[in-house]
Amino acid sequence: MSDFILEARSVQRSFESGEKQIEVLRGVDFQLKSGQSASIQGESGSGKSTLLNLLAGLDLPDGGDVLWKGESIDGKSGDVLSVLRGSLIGMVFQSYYLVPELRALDNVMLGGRISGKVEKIEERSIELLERVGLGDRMKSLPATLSGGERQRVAIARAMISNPRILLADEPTGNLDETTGDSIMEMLQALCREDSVALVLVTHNTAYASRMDDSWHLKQGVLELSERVE
Amino acid sequence: MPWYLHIALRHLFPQGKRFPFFTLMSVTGVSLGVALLIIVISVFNGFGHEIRTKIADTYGDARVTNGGILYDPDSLVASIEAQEGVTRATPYANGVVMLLFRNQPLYPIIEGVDMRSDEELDKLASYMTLGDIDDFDDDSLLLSSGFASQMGLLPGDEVDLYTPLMGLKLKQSGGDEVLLPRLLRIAGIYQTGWQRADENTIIGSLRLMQDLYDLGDGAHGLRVQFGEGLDAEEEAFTLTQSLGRPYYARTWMDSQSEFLSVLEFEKRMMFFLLFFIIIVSAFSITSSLLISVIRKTREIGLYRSMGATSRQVSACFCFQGLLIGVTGTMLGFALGFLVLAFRTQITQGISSIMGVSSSMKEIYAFSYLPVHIVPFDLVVISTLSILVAVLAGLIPAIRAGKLKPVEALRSE
Ligand SMILES: Nc1ncnc2c1ncn2[C@@H]1O[C@H](COP(=O)(O)OP(=O)(O)O)[C@@H](O)[C@H]1O
Ligand SMILES: [Mg+2]
Repeated sequence: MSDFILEARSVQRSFESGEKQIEVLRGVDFQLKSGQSASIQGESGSGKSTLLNLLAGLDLPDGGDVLWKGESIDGKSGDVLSVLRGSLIGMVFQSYYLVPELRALDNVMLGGRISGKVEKIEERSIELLERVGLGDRMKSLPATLSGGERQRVAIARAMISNPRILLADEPTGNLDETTGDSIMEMLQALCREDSVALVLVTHNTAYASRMDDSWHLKQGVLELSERVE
Repeated sequence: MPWYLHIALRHLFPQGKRFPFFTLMSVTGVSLGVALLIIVISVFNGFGHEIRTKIADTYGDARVTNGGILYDPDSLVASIEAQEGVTRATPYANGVVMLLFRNQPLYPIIEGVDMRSDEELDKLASYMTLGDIDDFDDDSLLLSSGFASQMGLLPGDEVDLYTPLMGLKLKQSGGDEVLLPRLLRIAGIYQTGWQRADENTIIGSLRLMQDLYDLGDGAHGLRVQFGEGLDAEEEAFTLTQSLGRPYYARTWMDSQSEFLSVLEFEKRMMFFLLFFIIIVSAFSITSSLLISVIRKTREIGLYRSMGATSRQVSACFCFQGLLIGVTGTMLGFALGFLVLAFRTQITQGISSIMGVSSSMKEIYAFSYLPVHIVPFDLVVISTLSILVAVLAGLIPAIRAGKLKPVEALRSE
């Protein structure tokens, strides 16, 4: 038994593109302890999102293994993985992915409903929206919110299921610097307060350096460049 | 409510936004189909019901015969009227005769009605269009409208009537007797609205028939009326059982089974053809939901990333089909019943716009558009239309469930 909450062992993933086979990940190793944070940097197209999806169990590796709380997810059915993921992992994406038909509050509540964490769902959602600074926009539809506000809703939605791990794929990628800074600050604060392990994919070295571990993805291999003990 | 049902609801009816076009089209398609089915089938049932009532009215609920002549009908009347479920029994006699008017012969069916029965006379009076029921006696006839117009007869005219029995007697006497027809007056003309009774039938008194056919005090059978709401088939069966051979009670349905089955067949065909409208609207449900699955691919990926199973995603879209089906069916019911409620105004409006002056009565012998709503038909219509809508949602639902989470999230 490892004491890592999230782990990848020589994970390989390649895609077919026409005749060619592109090896995106050629044996990636990654470890993250509970409540710790890690950043992943790399050029565009280096496979960061691919890795994040594999860690989330949304995609399956061609070789190697992904472990959640020390347990391999290999061989588990899609629906079993879905249920496990719902209670373990929260995800935040570059382009928010809010449900346009639902108001901010309902978007957050949806996260709890899907993952089955429905107890006091409304109170908790309101509380979370207040924590991300959107207490006064709860009734707004996504279309009426700014990019930064949308990402705040998305973060609240990811946190509503009380995940142990938060996977954030360039959460500030679509935002200007000031907004990005405040989003990052809020995200880190939330994870620290609730001791949620955070994996942050980013291009911003300043944000990356605030994480416990810093990883770089190059030529299909992940290198640990810094680990704060 | 499970989250995927909630999402399905919001996809179809988003908050604070106006009704999405796709929803509107799909729901409208179903509701128009359902409304049309309800209207057409109910009017069809109405005509059928009207005709059935008229057949039952003219034939009686059942007729009891013994295969020959009833020589003592009154004692049979007494014993049948003593039966439970029977309201009344009246003797009748019928046969074919030849009428001669201005040297033009015609061979109508004649039916003898017991003049002692006020109910029978009242019923006749209600169908009379010309003449007076009080003029009707043992030396007069009532003509069906079709027959009267064919011969050009009006009340007050006189006709010669011959029976087959007269010819037989002539032959037996070896030509000694002179063939004397019976001179009869036309007392009135009736129209029931049921074509068969209105075409080649005439009515005389039972007394007249007894004379013409040498029946004495006898009759050909009894016309039996059962209590309201009773099942004629069942009652006739018990009656046959309790009377024993050679008596037999035949219901009006039995006597017109061919005609009734044609009516039923026509209704089925109509239902089948109109149901295609709902099937066509199912295609529009399928295509609009498929488009919705494609538009919401990334959303579906997101649900999966939050822990949704493929089954839940499928249920979300299948439920949209169900929801469209239920909403469309409910609106269709509302629209259908609305049109049926205002059918008189609508038909009047249409005929006044088109400048058609002829009223319903002249065409169908009904002064209004008859409507008969059969609950069972409504159950069939709603069940089938909702089922078809769910099936229409199944294809998009399966597609949505099969989407791979990563590919869904990556899609543009
Ligand atoms: N489903 C797929 N099919 C084909 N190629 C893919 C697929 N997913 C990712 N790729 C390829 O893998 C590489 C890495 O993609 P991605 O992980 O999105 O990069 P990053 O997030 O680091 O920018 C890219 O070259 C991309 O084209
Ligand atoms: Mg990426």
